[in-house]
Amino acid sequence: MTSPLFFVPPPAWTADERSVAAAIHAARGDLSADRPATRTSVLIIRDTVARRLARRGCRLSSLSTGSDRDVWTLHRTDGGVLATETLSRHPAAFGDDLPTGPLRAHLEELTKGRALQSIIQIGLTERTVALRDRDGKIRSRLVFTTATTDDGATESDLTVKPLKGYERDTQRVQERLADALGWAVTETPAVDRLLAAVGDGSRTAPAAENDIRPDDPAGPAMREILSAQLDVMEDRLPGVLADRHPDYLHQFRVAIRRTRSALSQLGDAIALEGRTEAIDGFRWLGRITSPVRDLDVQMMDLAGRRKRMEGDPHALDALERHLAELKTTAHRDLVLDLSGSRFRSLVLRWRDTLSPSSANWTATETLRAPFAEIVSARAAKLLRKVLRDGRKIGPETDAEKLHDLRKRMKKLRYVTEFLAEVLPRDRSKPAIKALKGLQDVLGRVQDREIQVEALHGYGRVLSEGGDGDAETLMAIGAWTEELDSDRQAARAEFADAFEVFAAEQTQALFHDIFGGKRQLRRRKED
Amino acid sequence: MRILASYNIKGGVGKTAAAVNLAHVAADRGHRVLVIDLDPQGAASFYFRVKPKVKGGGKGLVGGKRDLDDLIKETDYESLDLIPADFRYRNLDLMLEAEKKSTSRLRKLLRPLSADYDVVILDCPPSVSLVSEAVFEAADALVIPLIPTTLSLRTYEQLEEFRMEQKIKKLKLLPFFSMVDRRKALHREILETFPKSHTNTLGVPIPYASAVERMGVERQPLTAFAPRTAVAGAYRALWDAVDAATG
Repeated sequence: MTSPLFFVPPPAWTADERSVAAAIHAARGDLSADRPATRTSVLIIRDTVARRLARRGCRLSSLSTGSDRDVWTLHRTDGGVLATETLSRHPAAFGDDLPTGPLRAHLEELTKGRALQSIIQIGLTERTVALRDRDGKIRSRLVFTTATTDDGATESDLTVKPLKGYERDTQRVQERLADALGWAVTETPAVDRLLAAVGDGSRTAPAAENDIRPDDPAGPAMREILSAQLDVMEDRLPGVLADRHPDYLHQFRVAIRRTRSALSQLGDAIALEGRTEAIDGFRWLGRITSPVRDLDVQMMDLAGRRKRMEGDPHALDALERHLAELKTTAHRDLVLDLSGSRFRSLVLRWRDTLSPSSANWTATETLRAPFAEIVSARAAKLLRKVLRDGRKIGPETDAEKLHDLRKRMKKLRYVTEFLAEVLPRDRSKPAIKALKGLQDVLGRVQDREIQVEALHGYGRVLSEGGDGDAETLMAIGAWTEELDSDRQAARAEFADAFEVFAAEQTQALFHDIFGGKRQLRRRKED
Repeated sequence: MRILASYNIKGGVGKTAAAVNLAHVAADRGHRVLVIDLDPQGAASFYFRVKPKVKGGGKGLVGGKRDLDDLIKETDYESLDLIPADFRYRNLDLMLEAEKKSTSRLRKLLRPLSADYDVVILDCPPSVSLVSEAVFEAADALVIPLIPTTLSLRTYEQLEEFRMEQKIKKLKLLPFFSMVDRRKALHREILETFPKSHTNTLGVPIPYASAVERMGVERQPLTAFAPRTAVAGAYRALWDAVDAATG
């Protein structure tokens, strides 16, 4: 079937009874028209906080029509449906909350575990008129659509919905409408025109790709990267304050860590004025956001544990309630801090420091040196330290040394990611993947230890407070056993994981991106 | 894609009512359904208000010169399409006979539809012919309405024998009782005894109901214009039984 056409009414036109009746009369010819049937629905465009779907040319929508099931559709924005599924009303927060199928498979790949949020909500009103022949058979349908956003932006149109096998009828109705109404005609439906007008999130979100080149002066390049981190923090802040979803705080903290890393790893190279003050401020931010983040992670881990555990998953209900109480208190404290003058003045002063007109960013020779050269030198130095420290770790080495190595690897990872901002993805991605591989093993060693300790603490509190019955304590005990077992497994895996990381083949990935001047001059466009 | 055929050698047993109502229920349950009206009487097409005309007639259907997709008409019901009948199908046997590998022709024609449809329901003419052999080869299951009388059961036995002789093992036979009048002792007796020896019998009898006859007046599936009647409920339960037996 050919693409449908959409007749766009003039601005003054409204879908009142008389106007609709006039349009029907113009369209129907010798067909009879049913009374209009009106359907209202809500279309929600969903994406991750960082707009991963939009940036990859996709759009996810859910359409609610009043029943307890919604139709979820994943489109390509240049046309075509990748997957569609009818799901029960409870919105999925993650791709893997969905039932197994093509939609879930696509979303898991596109979102990489990031949470889905409601980005735009559009109210749809569709008035459908069936046009019938003498036998009463529907030959064509007219659909009057009005799409409206929450803040009142609206688009309308009239379309002739084709029926398979009755294409000629559709064409005749369209011709009659074109002759009688004189409205503009488009192939773009009202919803798409509305999204184009208000924005569907496909503009790049903060911390997206930038225009920095490897040879650009280091100062302005760092300024741009740091500005992007501050943009991310400001963008996520309302979601953090409202506790909309853990992903908001997670992204907020990633921006803090990247800022701290830039300040501490590269700040001395570029001799940034006010650096010490900024480092203190962002260290404070990292500290005040930790309790809520830790509790978010614990609650997500608890949800995961419930799915895996044998026995009654309700045995962990008391623990969940306890964590929720702790989270409420921690979040309240966080909101106070983020609403206070210290945070406000930190952001204002930092924004001022990041101003393009500030002399901070071009004052010295180092600031004017090529960005990639400065960052690569620092990254190469960190890599040497990681290799040196890693080689010293044996089966009997104290856990503290692994934690120190993990911290150093985090610094290396952030600096490598700064460099990745100016390199083609296919060059930087393998190196970052190699870093993540070893980091994951180290992470499991440390995180499981912390989790076990935390769970023991919660168990004691619940027991002393009378909220932890035998079943709860046994469930917590079983969970700590699982975590400790994984910690030991990770510890045993470290040697092999480090060997792979230190191997010539893996190190070649880093030499490629930290390498000589000739390689660094390769542009992003290559 | 499942291919079901509403079939019986005898006429007037409720084949078309079953085909049309089962198709409507299946579509309502979320399946993409295509009904193919193979009966030159065109009753299914009549119920769906689609003119019984196919370009090229029977040759148009089986001759291979037209894509089946070109013959499909959307009905008034979501996810439910129809290839209408044509009176020229009265010569379908002859047209099939003229084709090479005549009995497998229909199966080949239907195969490409699997991308667009989950269920195909064939409304078959009451006959034993090349058309019915082609249907047996194409279908996954025959849904067989039986009026609970002795003669009706006899035709079923003949069908079972034919299936054994032709060795069409993959073809499921799913008999169910149609136009049941529980006031009649014979009906009650057969409803009780037949399933004991024929365990493939679907356990949902369709009662005799004037609402079924009203389909010809309303020109709609009964499950569309009288959804709250007991007979509509029976057709819904019948679909569930067919779905379970073939899913």
